[in-house]
Amino acid sequence: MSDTPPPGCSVPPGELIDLSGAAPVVVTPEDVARAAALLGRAADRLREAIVHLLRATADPLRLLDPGSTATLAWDQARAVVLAEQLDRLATCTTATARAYAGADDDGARLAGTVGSALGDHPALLLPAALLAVQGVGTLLGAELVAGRLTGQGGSVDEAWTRTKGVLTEDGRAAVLTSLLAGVVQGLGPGVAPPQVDVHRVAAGLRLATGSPPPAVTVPLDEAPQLPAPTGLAQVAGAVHAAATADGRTGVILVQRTVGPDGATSWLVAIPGTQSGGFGGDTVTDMSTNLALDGGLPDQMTSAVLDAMAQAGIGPDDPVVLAGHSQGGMTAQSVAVAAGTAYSIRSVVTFGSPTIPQPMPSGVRLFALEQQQEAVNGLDGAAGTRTAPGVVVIRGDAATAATGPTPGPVAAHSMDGYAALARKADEAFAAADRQVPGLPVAEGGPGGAASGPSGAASGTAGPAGQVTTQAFQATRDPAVVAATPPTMSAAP
Amino acid sequence: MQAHADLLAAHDLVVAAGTAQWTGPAADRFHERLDEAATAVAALAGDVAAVGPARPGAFPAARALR
Repeated sequence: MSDTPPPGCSVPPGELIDLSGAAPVVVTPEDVARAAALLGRAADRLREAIVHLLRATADPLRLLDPGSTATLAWDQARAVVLAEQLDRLATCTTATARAYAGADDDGARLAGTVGSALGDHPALLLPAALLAVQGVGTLLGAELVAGRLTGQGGSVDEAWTRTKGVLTEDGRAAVLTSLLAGVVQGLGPGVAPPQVDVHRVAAGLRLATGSPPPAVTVPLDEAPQLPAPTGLAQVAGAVHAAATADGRTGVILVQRTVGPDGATSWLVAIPGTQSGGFGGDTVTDMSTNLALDGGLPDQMTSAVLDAMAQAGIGPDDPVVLAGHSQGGMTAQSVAVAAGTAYSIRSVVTFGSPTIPQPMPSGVRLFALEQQQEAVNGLDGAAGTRTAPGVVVIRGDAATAATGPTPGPVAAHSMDGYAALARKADEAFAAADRQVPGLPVAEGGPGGAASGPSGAASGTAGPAGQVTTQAFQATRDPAVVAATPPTMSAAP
Repeated sequence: MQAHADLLAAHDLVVAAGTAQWTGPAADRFHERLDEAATAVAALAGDVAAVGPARPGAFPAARALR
């Protein structure tokens, strides 16, 4: 009998780190299932021992030694009880492995419910579509009124700018995308398809909406001062900084750390959805969402690769890619597209769906997910998020919230993920673990700024000299016209 | 005695189950159960070895019959 889990006990490989409770839980579901199989085998060997003990007890020669006969009979009874206990333990352990393997799909199931509910109830399609549109319209109307009352600016353009900020600040745009995807799913063949291939639906919708205008990647004059990314908290900080950089969209931050030993490592931080539109100036929009979710070429993947080349990342330098929401999908896509051009060690995603393409071997994917999260389930992968090379880090947004339990929208916010990243760092430190590719600090986080100014910013600290460069992906026609094209519009 | 070999094998399997990559409160309880089970199986194996024919003098009557 092998060590592989028995039928009905199989779980997808990968690792789950559950930080939603009082104490962290780190588990490899496949490993726990193997432990269950071993316990089952131990129970089997105990039963074999019982048979042999029975024969030994009945041996006529043994009857001449009443003391040993009584001992063996007593051992036989104890072995029976012990075998039953081991069987129960094996059953419980099997159930535990299954629970861990599926424990990260709460949010995915929630989001998947949108599509399946709409598929089952076509009458809900129109209301759902209206709700998606109305969600934006209501916000826009509220911003118009608020702008006029508060003096922030009462024009439609000004209100729309603020509305886009609200939509992307708390991830509402992504949830509206979920609603839209649900509508599309419901409109699939047969109106109520039992199994919807979300990736195909997204690809179809992306192709149906047409190609976006060309985009370019340009270096920015200023980059935020950031500490060395020695843990997930700093990675989350860099992603947040990319999303909020000077009010711009499509900003990609590339951090280079040169350690005390001269070793160079890189972190690439990518923002999430920043526009609910298709094909506008902002590249981090819905067309990019659909392309990534559909496994099609997209402009943000090209932009990140372009930024990495402009930043001077060497082919052998260890690289960590990180992003929130859409940015996490982009990070996965870059890891796939980079091939052997770069040494991608890890991808860190915060509330991101999984793209159709599997991670290359050797790339570790750390997927941070909140229990209440809905957006990461847009890939329709409920219950199957663990995979080879994937470490799921699950949190409870309610534990970090000061008010009511966050809903699917609030749970998607980067603030909550920053808190989860800090908890993950504590758990990793306790387990003496490290995200592959990140520089190792010697004695603490990075210190005061001392690097060059302008296009790159620098900080020095125990992890070494850190330099941050900023780039922007944009479809702004004026910028595109003034910049030699480095990539073409995705098909 | 074959029963002794079976018990030693069962003990090894229980110990091997304890190498699962799993930490946390539930894992702590799991390991406590495993420790108890491993100790119990080891005790059984010890008992069986103690009364088995491998111990000189354990079966004086049987020896007399040979």
